[in-house]
Amino acid sequence: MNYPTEPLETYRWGKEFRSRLFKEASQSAESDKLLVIGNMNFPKEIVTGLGDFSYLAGESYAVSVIREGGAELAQAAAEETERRGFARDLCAYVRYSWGSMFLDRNPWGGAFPSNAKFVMSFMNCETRGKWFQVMARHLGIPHLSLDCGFDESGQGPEYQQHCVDYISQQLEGLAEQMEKITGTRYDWDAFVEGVANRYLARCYLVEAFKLNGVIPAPMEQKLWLPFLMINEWVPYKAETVAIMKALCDELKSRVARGIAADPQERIRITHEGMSPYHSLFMFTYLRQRGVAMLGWAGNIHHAISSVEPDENGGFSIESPILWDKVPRNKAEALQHLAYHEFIEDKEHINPKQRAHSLTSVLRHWKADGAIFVMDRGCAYYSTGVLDVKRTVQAAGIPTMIYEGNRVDAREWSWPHVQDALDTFLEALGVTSRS
Amino acid sequence: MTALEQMSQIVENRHDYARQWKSRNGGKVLGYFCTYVPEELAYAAGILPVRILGGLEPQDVSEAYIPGMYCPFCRDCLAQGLLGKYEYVDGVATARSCLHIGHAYRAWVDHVPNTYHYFFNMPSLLSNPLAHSFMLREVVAFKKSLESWSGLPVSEDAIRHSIEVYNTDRRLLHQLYELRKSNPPLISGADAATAVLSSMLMDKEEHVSLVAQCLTELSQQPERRLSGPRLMVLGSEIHDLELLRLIEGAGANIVIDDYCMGSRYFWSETSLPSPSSEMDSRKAEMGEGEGKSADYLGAIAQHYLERPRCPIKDILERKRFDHILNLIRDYNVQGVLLTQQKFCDPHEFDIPAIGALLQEKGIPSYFMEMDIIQSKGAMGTRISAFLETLALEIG
Repeated sequence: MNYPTEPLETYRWGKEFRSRLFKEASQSAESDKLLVIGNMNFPKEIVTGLGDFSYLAGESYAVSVIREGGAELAQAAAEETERRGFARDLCAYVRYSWGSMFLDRNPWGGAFPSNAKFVMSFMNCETRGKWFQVMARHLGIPHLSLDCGFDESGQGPEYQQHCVDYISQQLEGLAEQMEKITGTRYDWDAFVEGVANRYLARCYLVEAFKLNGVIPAPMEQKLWLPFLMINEWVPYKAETVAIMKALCDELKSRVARGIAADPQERIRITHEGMSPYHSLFMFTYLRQRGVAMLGWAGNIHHAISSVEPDENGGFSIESPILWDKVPRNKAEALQHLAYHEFIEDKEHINPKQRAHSLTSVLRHWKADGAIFVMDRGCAYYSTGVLDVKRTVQAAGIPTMIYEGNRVDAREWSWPHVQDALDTFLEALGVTSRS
Repeated sequence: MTALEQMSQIVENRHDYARQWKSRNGGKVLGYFCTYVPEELAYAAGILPVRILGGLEPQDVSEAYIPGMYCPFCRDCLAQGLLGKYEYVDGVATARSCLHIGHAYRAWVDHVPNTYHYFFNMPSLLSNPLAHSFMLREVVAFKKSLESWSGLPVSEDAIRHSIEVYNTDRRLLHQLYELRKSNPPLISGADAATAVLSSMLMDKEEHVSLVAQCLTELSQQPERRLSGPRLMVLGSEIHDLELLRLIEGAGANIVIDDYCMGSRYFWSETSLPSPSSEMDSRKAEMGEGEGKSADYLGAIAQHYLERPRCPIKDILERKRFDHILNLIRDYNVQGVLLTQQKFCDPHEFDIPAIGALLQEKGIPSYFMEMDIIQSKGAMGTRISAFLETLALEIG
């Protein structure tokens, strides 16, 4: 039986917005717009106090190197980084973004956008600090970094506040440093607005996740991509909030009318981890077998501070969204931003907590299985993945894991991955091939 | 038995030593994964801190928890716990450093029986103006946690005494390292490494006695070493003493190092508070703080912020490179072995820049990637080739 389907209108807007952001960043020198380079999940709301700016996020930039730049630039970038003595097992985001920088070539043609005023890194992953240290030295610009605080010993609210205060005080210090570097007076009201937008964008993300918990699923893997990206990349923009709201409105309509993202949905599976951006045909292969790829359930960890903690202090998709907790002033915005970074790391780094929140989404999404990826070179996303997988499996949701690399196609073997997928699908009772 | 032989035995039979310490003292043993853990606090609490080390043997138990893409050392450490080699360890601690060793710690906490675990939130941005106050709160929190675990308060006197013992040990190890400045050095690199490694595995006061004895013995009868190329070893952790013996057996002298099992462990001392801080202490005793204890804890915090840096903490301004160049100058280093555990991200970021810097300074270097076990034959060939090249360059 085929479900009714129709294009997701908001998807076009999300894709167009994403393309516009890339274009703005790569052409920022021509527009004289402030350009900042840094890692994707840096709380860049702190930069909104300087006015409008473009942010070249290293992670998405690396993906563009392979997807927009093509095989030639991808190979050249990787080889240039390795020629300079850097190990091939370093994070592929690092190697490909560096390669483009070392070659002075950007994926859309032209030189690497080197008019950035400074680079920024968030120290929740050590790679990020060293990544942008090298970039800052190469480009000859300041490197601003934000330290984080982990609570791995479960020391209670007072300790948590000590970590949150550490982050929020640093954020204030960064605002001063940016003022000095750019000569621009810092506008705290603009910052509050940026954080408020981020908060709302994340609330809508949770709502979208909740709406995906019906049969047939209104969303699927490919459709999620621009929304997940803008939520991480530019959540502080009013347009992101507008897009996310529009998405939720459209999803409500699709749910009411039983519109499916995948009309042939027979079995529902998630992909837990970054997609192999060089080989997205993997999802087409799965769809052709009647697999509805629901998306990346674990990505909800970017929005957990928008939801009321469950009785164990953890995250559950069933918990109410805290729509009324939008930060209203500088103190609240700083605390919220710092708290979010703290709680997101606390959740991610602990396999049990991560498995708990992930399982709640998988159950809500009525997932028949979850595919985990162990990304070679990414110690942050691979940390605890084996324990998380086992815990999800023990919760009654079938799982599989494959090894690969989201950006470096040389660290990926499609025949091996295909074999693993086929075996998994067979175990789930999916045997026919189109 | 000489002091060095005793230290060597303790390294070889570290588990037996710790078990015997436990039955002698009745105290707890805290295994730690990273030298940024302020272990002197554990020592002040009557706990024996011991560095968790790998077994340097093939193993097949850790990959169920840590994928093979993580560094061999962290997988080997976890394996020892899973294999029950550390059954005497009552609790474990680590400091925030790299994700690899952090993963080993977390997997240990979840899968190896323990009664205590502590994650010390060591700052990453050591020059950040907020780092000291954050670090001090962390030190205070760790002290309280240890008190809760041990069931006993940790007194100011105990903290002061612990700092003094640790400082004495550091000073004596410095004196031992000074012997490596002569040509040929009066102690081998492998023996010096044994002395440092044993410090991480035994009661500090006992170790102080052994190092003092070692210095006396060496002054009376120094090791007879042949002149050879003077090498520095720098990079990821090394506790494979056979590898160091292999390098020196090929005709070189390892005269200095920069890694966490070597000089970085003891290079700087904790500066005890000056007498003028007694005024603040008295003020604090009137209910405005923790008294003198706060000064000692502040001193411990400052020590860890200022000691020679691991690459993971050498963010923003690079202080590590100047320190390395100073060591090269002070120890008259002629060649550098850049050693790196496979997949070690922190060192993988720094080693190309260090290699370029050494080349700029005209100092030959050679890169060696390491695993849990090394193929000694292949390593030996490579080291010999480097030494031959070095001999040509030195003249």
